[in-house]
Amino acid sequence: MSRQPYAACVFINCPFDVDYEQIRNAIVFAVYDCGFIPRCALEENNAGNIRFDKIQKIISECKFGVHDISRTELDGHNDLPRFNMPLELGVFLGAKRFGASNQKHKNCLILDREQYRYQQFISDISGQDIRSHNGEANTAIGLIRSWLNDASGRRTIPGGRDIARRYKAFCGDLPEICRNARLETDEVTFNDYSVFASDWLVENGAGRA
Amino acid sequence: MPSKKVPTKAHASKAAKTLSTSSSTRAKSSAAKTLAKRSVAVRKVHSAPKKGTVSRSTAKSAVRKATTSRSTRKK
Repeated sequence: MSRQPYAACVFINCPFDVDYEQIRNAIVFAVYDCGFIPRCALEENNAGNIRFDKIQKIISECKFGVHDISRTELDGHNDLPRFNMPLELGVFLGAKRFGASNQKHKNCLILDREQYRYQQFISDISGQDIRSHNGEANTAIGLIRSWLNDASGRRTIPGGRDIARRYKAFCGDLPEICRNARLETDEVTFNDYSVFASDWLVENGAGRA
Repeated sequence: MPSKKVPTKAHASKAAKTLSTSSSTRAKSSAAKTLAKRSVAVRKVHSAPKKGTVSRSTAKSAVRKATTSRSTRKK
């Protein structure tokens, strides 16, 4: 696969658990519909690579980044919080601050469940663009759309409600797409979902870049 | 005592024109909406960078079948 254009890639840094799946899927769909490419640690299934190296490589290849810091609960097994999302946000901000010239153009959106909650656990990021999705997929779609529209300066990005309407239609088609591909819906990987979403948008009226 | 100013017919007519939405303004607004719709319609969607657990041709065919089936159901 050829190298993806830096200015079109959006790093998705979010929880990978089932509870967050609806929001993550909505974000991935919205990024494709806005004409960008969502990138995520889940896209690499090569166990030979060290995970953190993979993440750093993907971050270096993305101009944009969406970081969801909403998962602050203690892990049910060991009563400890998960620090992966804040760590990856730190790498992204560090690359923007100390990286080569193209890295300095990085732009990110930080999402949380509630507005201003971050001030209680990661107050040093005050001043960044931090928005609240309230745990709702359509709100997350609207935030992604507005941010990409402002940050990229592109004028071909559809409206948030327009994207949400297509996302609803795609969710309606997804079980049949899975049946046609002989997959159970819970077997769909990040890469499968990305291929389905991208192909569905082209099949339903968008052009192919 | 200052005399009360009464607007002339010409002034009143000019003010009324300014306040009402002229046909040219409506035309411009309509053209802008058409342009906005067109720019969104010509947007390009990128391919997914990595292959999933199914081949690209299988995925494409699965999506096409589901889309066709939905449009057939609607009729």
